[in-house]
Amino acid sequence: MSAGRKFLIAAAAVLLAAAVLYYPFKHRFSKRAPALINSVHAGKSVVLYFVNEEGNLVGLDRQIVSGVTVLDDIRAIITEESSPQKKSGLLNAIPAGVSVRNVFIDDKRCVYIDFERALTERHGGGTQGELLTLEALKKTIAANYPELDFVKVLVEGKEIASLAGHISTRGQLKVR
Amino acid sequence: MIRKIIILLSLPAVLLCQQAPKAMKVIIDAGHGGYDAGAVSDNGTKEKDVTLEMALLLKKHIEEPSEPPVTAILTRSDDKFVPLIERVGLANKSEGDLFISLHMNASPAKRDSGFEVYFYDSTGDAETAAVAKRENEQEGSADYKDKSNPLFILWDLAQNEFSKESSEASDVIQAALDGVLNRNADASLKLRDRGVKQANFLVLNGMKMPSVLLEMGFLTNRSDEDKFKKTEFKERYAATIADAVRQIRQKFDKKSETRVR
Repeated sequence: MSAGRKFLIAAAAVLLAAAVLYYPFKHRFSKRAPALINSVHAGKSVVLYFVNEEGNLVGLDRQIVSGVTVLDDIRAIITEESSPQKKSGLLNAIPAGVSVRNVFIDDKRCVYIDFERALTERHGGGTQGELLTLEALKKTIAANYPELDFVKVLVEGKEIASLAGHISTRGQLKVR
Repeated sequence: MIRKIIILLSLPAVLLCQQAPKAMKVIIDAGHGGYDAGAVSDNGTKEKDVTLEMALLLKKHIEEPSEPPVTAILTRSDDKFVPLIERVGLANKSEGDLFISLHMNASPAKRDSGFEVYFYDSTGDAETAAVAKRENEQEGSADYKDKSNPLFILWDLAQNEFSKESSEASDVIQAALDGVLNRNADASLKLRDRGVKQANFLVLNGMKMPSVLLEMGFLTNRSDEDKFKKTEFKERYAATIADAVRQIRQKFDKKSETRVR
């Protein structure tokens, strides 16, 4: 066998091995997870979601100051969404004044948002109210972090059955 | 002689066929209860009280003499908390033909108003798989993940059938309410029709019968709330749902007749 042919066979074997190794992890390479560390601490344009008087969700462009990590940014965005909107006349989809305790992202592009207990205690209930809260969270993540696919709501670090007794929050919510 | 014997032998079968049709069993679920007040209006009206009152009224109207008869079972008949899983368990154990969960809606927007009818949405829901697992484990199946497993196939077929019938039942209830409370109602009793929708409701998950959840109106909307203080409105509302239940019965009966043929 000539040296050239040996080289070709070796190259084909390497390519085949690379393809075999790549396939199981294809989904991880197809979409990049967000870089967790922000390179610049500066103003950042984000889209926040609120409820208008007709009961529809509306997206608003806002500026936030970037934190050290993307997790800090998500926390800041959600906190801003739960702050009372007196000037705009818009209403909070996430109950007003509810703090986010922690945010983390797993290796399957799911962002876990851990709220304080006030999320369920202050929630006004109703199917429509619950759907607006969950939809606002999904839209917020979809608009600002297209690399993420799922949102999971936690309260005090634990999974909850629902926000106020209607819609299941046991599973991860698809953001789009 | 032989002819007489054949007639005598076939008599029990003929009599069985002529028996009165089986009574329809409707499970009525009054949302919330006990320490769980549900939504509360600015005036202090609690969802748990409205749902209980409407459930009792609906039972009264449903059990009015009719042929075939319809019976109603309540998941709660007083102000007590019943966990959602127990409501599902009670409905399944009672082998109901239809499950109706009654709720009052709430929204941050005070203008949100009207009724809407929901049925269970299981698309892409990880929890459905969990329910399949539980159901099959109860049946003694070891491998619930195996989609070729006959139990899984039966469970899947049953869920699809319930989903279709739940959708049909939702349509019938929505159309009936739309006619009586929206299109043909006086302004003082008029309620906006928000249509039929799907969502992943805890109380509808795992239900072994057609099931719907009715958001009867918004407690956060003053006009809707005021209507639920009027006896005439509440009676008309409950009577309309009861009429819709009878229509659903006829629809399902026709379907099973077609299947038998």
